[in-house]
Amino acid sequence: VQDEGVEADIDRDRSRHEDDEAGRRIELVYREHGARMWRAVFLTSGSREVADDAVAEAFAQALRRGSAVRDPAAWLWRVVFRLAAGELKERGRVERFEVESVAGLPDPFVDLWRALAKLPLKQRASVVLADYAGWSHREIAKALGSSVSAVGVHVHRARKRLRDLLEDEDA
Amino acid sequence: MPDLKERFSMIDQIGSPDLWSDARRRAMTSDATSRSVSLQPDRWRRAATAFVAFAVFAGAADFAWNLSHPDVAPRPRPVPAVDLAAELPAGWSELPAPPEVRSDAATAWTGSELLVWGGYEYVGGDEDPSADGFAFDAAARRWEPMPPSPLEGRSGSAFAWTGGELLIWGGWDGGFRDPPYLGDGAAYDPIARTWRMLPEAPIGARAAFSAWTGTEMIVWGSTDRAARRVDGAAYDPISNTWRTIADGPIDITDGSAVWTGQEMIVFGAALDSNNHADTPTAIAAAYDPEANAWRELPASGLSPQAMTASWLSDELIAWDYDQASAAYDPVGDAWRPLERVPLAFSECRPVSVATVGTVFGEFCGKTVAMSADEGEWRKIPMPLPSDTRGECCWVLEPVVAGGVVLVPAHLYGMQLDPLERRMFAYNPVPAARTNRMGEVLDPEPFFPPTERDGGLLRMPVVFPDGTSATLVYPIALDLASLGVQPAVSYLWRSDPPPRFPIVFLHDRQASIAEYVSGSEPVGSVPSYQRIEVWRMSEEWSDRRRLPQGHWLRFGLPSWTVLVALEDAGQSEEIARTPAP
Repeated sequence: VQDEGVEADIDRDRSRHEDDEAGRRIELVYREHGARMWRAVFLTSGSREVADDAVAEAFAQALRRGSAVRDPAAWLWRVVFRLAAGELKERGRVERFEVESVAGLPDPFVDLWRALAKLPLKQRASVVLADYAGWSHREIAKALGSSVSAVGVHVHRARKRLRDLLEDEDA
Repeated sequence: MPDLKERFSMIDQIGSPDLWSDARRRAMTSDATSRSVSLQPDRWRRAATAFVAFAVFAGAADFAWNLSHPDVAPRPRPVPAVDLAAELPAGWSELPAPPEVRSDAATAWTGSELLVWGGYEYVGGDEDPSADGFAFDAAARRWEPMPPSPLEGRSGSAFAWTGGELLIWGGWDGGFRDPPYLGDGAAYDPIARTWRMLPEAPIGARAAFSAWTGTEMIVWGSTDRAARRVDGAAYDPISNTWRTIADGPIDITDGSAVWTGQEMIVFGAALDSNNHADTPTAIAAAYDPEANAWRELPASGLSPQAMTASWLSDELIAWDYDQASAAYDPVGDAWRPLERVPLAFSECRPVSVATVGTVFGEFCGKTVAMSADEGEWRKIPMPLPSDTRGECCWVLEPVVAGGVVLVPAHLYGMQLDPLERRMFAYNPVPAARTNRMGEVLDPEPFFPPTERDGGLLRMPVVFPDGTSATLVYPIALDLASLGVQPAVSYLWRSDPPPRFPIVFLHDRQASIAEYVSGSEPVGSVPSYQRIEVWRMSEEWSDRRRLPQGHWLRFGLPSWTVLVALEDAGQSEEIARTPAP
């Protein structure tokens, strides 16, 4: 019984050590990707509140799972978009995209901001991850839980629509 | 006008809030109700417990843990994946028998465990479904009971493995009350060894067809011949929500649901209680979760009475009880006939499952396989005792476990009791392609880039543990032209067999006795002191199904590399190639 107790202590220490290490890894991911993740969700949702909540919640979930998350960066990118999508769904997809949210940014961006508001959610998420985050279609498909071919269609249509809208804006 | 990427990059001028402390605070909070992003309460509780453990450790206040959490056991840690395909010999082998052989159970291969929950043990009568399950620990090679679940016993549930949880929903309770179906579900986390209930589904109780898309478990239709259903729902475990899906265009009560990577194909037929089908052939429809839309597939030409289907590479492979077989190509939206399954007609229901590059089929206790390379069925006789002592029948319940198929099997007797339980494993052997030396190439030849360095070639290789090395060898020993593929060959543990015959030993002191015969090399390369020729051990050759041959042993600063050569004459000729 004593041996079992010692083994349990060793196991517990090892488990905590792994979680400690995992916590550090997750913090590093936050430092490296957190801001970009937040901006990607902000671009997709049009809402600072949704971006704040999704990013904080995704990292909180990663911390809770500890060493069970083997590739925190990939896992977090996927989860942050899933959480944001869930949040938008709960809110009835009322996305704000208010110009005040991006006050002070150059006009070409503000035009893009207005144009993004007119895209369906999946197109918007796909084009943000492709053209802002620089992801491949395969990576986007994984993050959004979609197929590579569907992402290709979303990105293509989103770009075309954005260009059309921006041309109208410039005209 | 700036292009889109330039416009997007302008958002980097916006400052993002520092959410790290918020994330840490949330991770330590057990009250989920204040969060606007909903999570399952069980997960919150479990996760919060885990994080408290982390925080306590960080503060080195070990005693505090024991004081404040006297009842919290050490949190189970993720178990490394077990690659049975690498560990088991090609073809059939046997593993420890399960406590029971469950039919119509919810099953999942977690990467290290086979979970079997619910279902019933068929011994020829009407058996009650169970409310418990077993897990086969592949590393320890033993079966253990799963923790008690919050669900009542059931069979024929919709189920899916999400990568972290076994989802179970609905099913038949084994009774005949009206209706005898269940409409609740739960998820089992094998790492935490805990269950949580699923939220209420937006569809009625039933035993449904199901498929896992990578993000959702789709639950559709019903296997109830008395109540046809075409509605369905999809459960997303991350948001812990259900959504309803579009109604299907066809009725099916018997058949298979298969995920293609883009669509869920349901294939089968609607039968009545007398086994009469609504349609002259088996029918199918495909659901696209992206578009939330269905499309009907052309008629298959297969019998609607009993059939099965699995997804192999890029086609649906279907097979009926009359042993006719056909493949459906979603791109061309067309069926093509396949050679018949080489088994005799019988009144059994065919069953098939697909693992990497191979469909495994079972019919009346007889087993067949079709590899994507061969494109035709072949018998793979199972090593069951032929003498069944006058008893009745073998029941086989195949489940995919990574690259192999595990087949719990039991023989039941005339007294309707299980007489013998076994578990077999089938490790598929795809059609071998060989290079000019007769070496097996698998699955596609891959030649890592090499750099010429005088008379040497340098080949960088990266190993699964993230370390890397450069294989340096004389041009005369052009491993690439021999088909030697270090990068791929080291990955043999996750590739379908046969494995590529090259072995890296991390530790130069590591014993190579496992691979070679004798204690001394049978030759060496005079010009290269660190290349020796060893005779391959019979055991290793048998295990890998390689013809008896030789190894070239390369001694590198931190690695020993064994390269298999099948033909002794050729190996010596190569080994004696003079230095350039």
